[in-house]
Amino acid sequence: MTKLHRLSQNSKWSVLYRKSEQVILGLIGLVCVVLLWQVTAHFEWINPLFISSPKLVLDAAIEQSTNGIIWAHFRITVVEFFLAFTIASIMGILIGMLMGWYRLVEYTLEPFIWLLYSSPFIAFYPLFIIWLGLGFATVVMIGFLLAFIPIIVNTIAGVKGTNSVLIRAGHSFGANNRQILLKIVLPSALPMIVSGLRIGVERALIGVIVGEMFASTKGLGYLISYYGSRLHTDRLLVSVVLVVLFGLVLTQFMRLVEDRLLKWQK
Amino acid sequence: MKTAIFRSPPTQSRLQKLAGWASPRFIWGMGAVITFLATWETVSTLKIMDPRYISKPSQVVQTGFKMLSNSTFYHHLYISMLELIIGFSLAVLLGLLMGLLMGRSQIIRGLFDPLVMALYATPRVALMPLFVIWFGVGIWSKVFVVFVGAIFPILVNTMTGIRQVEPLLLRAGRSYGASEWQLFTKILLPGSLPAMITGLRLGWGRGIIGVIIGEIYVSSAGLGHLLNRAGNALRTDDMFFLVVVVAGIGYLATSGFSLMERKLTPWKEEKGA
Repeated sequence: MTKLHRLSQNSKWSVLYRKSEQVILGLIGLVCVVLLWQVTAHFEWINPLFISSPKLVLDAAIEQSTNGIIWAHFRITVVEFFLAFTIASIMGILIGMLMGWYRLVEYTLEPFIWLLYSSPFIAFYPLFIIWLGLGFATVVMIGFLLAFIPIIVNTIAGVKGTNSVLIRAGHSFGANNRQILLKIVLPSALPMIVSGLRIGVERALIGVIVGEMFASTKGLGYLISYYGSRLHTDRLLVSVVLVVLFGLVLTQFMRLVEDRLLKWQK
Repeated sequence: MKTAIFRSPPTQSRLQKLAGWASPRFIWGMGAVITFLATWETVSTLKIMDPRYISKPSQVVQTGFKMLSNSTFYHHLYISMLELIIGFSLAVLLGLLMGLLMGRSQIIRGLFDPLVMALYATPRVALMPLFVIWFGVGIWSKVFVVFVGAIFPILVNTMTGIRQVEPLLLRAGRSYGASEWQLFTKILLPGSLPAMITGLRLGWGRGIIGVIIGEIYVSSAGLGHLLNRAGNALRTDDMFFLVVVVAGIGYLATSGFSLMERKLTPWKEEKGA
């Protein structure tokens, strides 16, 4: 794009700017931080051993992706994550539906859900290691436990939030319980369930990473803790960036799904 | 903003309160918990599962008393609370300030939004090794974990709260000649208060988990340190007791924030969950 062209279409550009102002400003913000980081490290205002630098991280990323180390560990993290999240979703939605539908189930399970919600059961990781062994199963378990509570809580709220008039109408028109559940309760609870799943995605990822840090010898969490203890800040940050990107992609995807599903409600 | 619904405060007679205690919710919940504890106790006593791995309630209570009568426990509790409170206070200060700025100015929001979102989505604990490199194994690495964990929910909620304030109210305020300061204290602040308090509550929850995980990762004092020591020595009773203590701290604080919300925003309709 030539300068002349840009000038001649000044108004068009300013419109474009106003439309995408947030994106442009965001990019400026990001670039500034990266530059500041690089400059700080370059002139050693802060020892690069501690903060590394964008260039060092990039070098480490190239090195680690060409020799394949990072991908091998990334693959394990991804598998653990999806397993933990899938089990958490299925169990969470099932138990949540039961608790939302049957009052007695809710009353009975409620105290345990709240206890799990507020207790730092990650502290039990030594026990998990004993029960499930070091690595895969323990990591999946921790991810599952973290993710499944918000999914339950949101599903309950969704099911209980179903408009009772709709259910009564269904009954009057002779719908059986299964039909009411599938045609009325589930669709109306869906937005809440999906936002529960979005929280679940974040928490499952945290759980898997923490699990790998404490109870595994594989995966990105393990790499982070390994390089951390050896002061390889650049390699550590490669793993961190990968985790962040993975998390962002997943949560953005869930947002999209959420918007899609919410559309019909408006 | 939803329209405010004015309700007279709920008047509860003593009888109704008593009935609340005896509600089916309470009875079934209590029943389930008691059954669970009894089963646990039996399974452990009859050695259906190895008591070393699952402990048992009576043992946990006993250990609890022993720990509570020992002064070292309070030292560790103090360290954890210190980390939590310093980190949380810093997060509140900076989170509210940044949230207000980002809620009010489109340019500031644009500049920082992607950074905030990226950091919000980052599993904080993944940065723990880095914090240890920066701040050492003492309390400051944990203070920082709490800070990083708590600031983003506070910031994001404050920002959203400010942005959701009805513009009509602001315009009305301006027409009647309110100064910027008055607009802020009389309209923006009350309007965004519920969202702010939600942010504080979320932040506190993340802060507690951050402290404990941080201390388990590396520390020389604090409840997480005790937990880690108990875990490595397989003292299951200690672990269960400590976990209950931490859950209790979380529960108390959550109730505190809910109370604060009700007292500070009495005009707001009670909303579920």
